[in-house]
Amino acid sequence: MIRLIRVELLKLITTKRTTGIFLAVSMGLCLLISLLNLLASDDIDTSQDILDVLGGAQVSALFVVLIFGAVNMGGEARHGTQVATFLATPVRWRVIVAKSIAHALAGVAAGALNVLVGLLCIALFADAPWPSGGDLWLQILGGTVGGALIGSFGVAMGAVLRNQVAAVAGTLVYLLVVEPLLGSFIDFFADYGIFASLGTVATAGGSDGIAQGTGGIVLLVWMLSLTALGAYVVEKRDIRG
Amino acid sequence: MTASTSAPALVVEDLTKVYKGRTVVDKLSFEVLPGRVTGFVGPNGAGKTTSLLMILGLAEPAGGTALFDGRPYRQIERPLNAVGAVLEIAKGHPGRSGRDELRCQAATHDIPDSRVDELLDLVGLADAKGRRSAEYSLGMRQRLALAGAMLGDPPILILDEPLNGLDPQGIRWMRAFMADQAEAGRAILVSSHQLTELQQVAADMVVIDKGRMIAQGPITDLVSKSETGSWARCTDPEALERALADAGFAVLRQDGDGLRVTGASGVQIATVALEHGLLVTELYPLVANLEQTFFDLVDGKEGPA
Repeated sequence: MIRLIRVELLKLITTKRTTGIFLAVSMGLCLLISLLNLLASDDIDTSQDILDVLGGAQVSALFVVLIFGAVNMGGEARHGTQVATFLATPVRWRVIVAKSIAHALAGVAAGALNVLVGLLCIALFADAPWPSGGDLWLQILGGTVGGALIGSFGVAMGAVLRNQVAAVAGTLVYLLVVEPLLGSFIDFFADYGIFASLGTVATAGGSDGIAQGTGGIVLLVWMLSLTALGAYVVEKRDIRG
Repeated sequence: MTASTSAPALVVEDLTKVYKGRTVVDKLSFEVLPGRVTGFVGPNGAGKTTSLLMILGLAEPAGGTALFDGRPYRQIERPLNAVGAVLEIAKGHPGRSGRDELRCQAATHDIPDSRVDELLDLVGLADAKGRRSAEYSLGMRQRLALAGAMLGDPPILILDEPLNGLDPQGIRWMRAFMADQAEAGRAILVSSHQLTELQQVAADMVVIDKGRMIAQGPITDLVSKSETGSWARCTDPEALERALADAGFAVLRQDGDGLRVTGASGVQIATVALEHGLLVTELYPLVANLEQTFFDLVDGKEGPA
């Protein structure tokens, strides 16, 4: 498995332009949202406000990491590279797991970069007192763990939905439209849906009364379930280019 | 390469595929022997690519088996060392260089980058290895895919339409490559539409049509079974066709107003035409070849082998 993870990381490195663009867009989005919140709002007075700005920007930027995972997994089918991939590794679920872990690592990198960018904005433009060291570490941890989980989640969606465009669009529509709609009727989705859990894990101390760790575990369960489904679907699917 | 025994490198038995209730491959059985090139031919839609996908574990058969050294592809521990495959549907990532494409495959088996460079040199892509594969011509992509198939030095190569899109120089190179690999002891299964080219390199042939095998065996045996005769054109083909049929010859209309006459020499045809006052504009003997054999088989002139 370690060899396969190395292979998947090599794939990310050897398409460095795509990888670089996604990381840069994620960072840029985090920077933009942090700046907009800091400059446009007059209500950022406390350290908690600072954490909220940072958390909100991170969650938005992590959507790019999600798309990155879905694009790369869906791209195996779109570009026809899945033929060589599954000829070299015929036990296909191993590829899905390795790709998931590789994108989790990429998500950690993106999450860490996003936190750095967010903190830089705060240092330059925020007048409110800085959060405590503990809260800051929790925020950093939440951003990176959220990045890891959402990167893997993107891979899972790319595996379930073979079509690259369907994987990206379907995931975004579900997270931004369907799940909030479900959440307005069913409390479970409002508290423990994928989007809600990402918000919880990426916020120091959690949100809406749900602990940050609980949000992380729930998101992990979502991610593992969808990865298992994606691995099953890919294992059973005929590869036709 | 490891295997050089005479045991079949690939044994396909009763391989069957059903799509949406339609049988597209029907109990296909054949063997591929080491040291020989086996042609896998059939008209478009005959089920060749589907068969190859099942053989390589990329599509699930409804029944039957395809075994490499006794194991199905998906159970081979190090598949690149056991089977090399070039499939028409396989492509490279447009943003990755040819060399990196191979490195990604090689890394799955801990094959060193030096082997990648060695193969790029072998297939004549050493100078283009840093270019993105999207910039490669079709011929270059075929060569890159071949290099990928050779990474693990496998005893069998499976090539799906490797001659497609190649210029005459590329075809000659590919033909020589296949001949060299077979001579080195490798088993080669090659699907191709280019029968004349295939005849020059293949020793055996498997012919399928509508998912079913209609012939299998050494090409020389299959070609020798093909009925020979003569080819004729006439200003009044209907009249000549009737006259030849009345004289007891089997006549088949082909290529518009052409007549393929089985069992008749040129002299016999000319004599019949003369007796009926018909002007023959084209007349020559037909020589048995793979292309003619293929058409005979597909047109149903031969039963299943």
